[in-house]
Amino acid sequence: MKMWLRLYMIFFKIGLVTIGGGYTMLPIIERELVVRHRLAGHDAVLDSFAMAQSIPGIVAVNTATLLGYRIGKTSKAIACFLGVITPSIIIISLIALAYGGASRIPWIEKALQGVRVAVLALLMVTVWRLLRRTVRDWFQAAVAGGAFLALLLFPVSPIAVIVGGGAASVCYYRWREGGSHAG
Amino acid sequence: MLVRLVLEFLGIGLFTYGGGLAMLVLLQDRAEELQWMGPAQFADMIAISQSTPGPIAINLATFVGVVQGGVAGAVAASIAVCVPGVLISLLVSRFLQTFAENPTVVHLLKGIRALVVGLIAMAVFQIAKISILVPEGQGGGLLGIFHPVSLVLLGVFVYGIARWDKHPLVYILLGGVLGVLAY
Repeated sequence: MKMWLRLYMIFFKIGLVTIGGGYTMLPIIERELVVRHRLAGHDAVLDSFAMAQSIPGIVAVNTATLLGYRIGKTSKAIACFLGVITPSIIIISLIALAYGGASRIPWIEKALQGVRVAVLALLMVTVWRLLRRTVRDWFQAAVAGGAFLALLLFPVSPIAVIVGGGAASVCYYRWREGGSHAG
Repeated sequence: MLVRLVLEFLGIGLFTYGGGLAMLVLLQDRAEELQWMGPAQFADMIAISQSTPGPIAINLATFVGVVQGGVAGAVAASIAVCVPGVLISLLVSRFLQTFAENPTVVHLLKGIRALVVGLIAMAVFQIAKISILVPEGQGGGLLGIFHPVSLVLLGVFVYGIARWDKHPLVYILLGGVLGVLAY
């Protein structure tokens, strides 16, 4: 089998069996790529996963692209990235087409009302856990709180908040490290 | 139509740091301004994206794409949201192996990771409005704006998630069942 097709199918399977994305994908990538197909080493997978988080975009897609490049340059990278997104496109297209009609059926409407509360609870717990894991100094606390308040109180676009916060972050940490070198 | 969708998702992909949840506020902003969908449909889309295979961010992009432009829209939006990350991943693989150690990148990400938590908190706030408040014009008083059944369900779910930490899919399905029984 051609290498690009093989990689496309491996990442199609990875996309298909991962529900939720992000960290749930890592053990599945290791099992398929390192153990079963022996196309990459354990370190390559971990390095790519870490690198993917430093790059804008979707961690799962960036990881697939970085691993594909390591295995066989640009063409294989594209095969991996397309493979990992194909299952989503097929499955969600089917569900989204059915959703429009189904959401008007009374009992499904009630079920969805309950589902929305579950989603809210899941997201609230996620935010709490992220805060505890991510916020390590007062500047980070200020940036997280400032971003929330800016969006809540002013008609400002999230992109402007990200650009402003990113610039402030580079300035602050550069200044602080500069200060510590001098002192 | 399709061109507009592609441009919007290229922008969303470029400013997403992390994955599906980091993307939520950007999507909410565009969905509201361009009238892609209402807030209830938005919350349902998150539930579907968290409980079906594939990266959450791709599921979200596909869902919006289908609603806006059928299957062609789904393919266009899903690929477009990946393109910035994939291009940067390819550039980094080829030219900047030390990208993740670059001081500016490290400084930027320290702030951005915290900022993203603030963004997610804002998305959660928007979802709270649709899932636990009664529709505008009904109810009154400070507590009257909350839907009592939803508030109780929310308490149960937050406790359950913090206590047992099962896969999101479990809570979403449970939300559906409880929704049918309780509303």
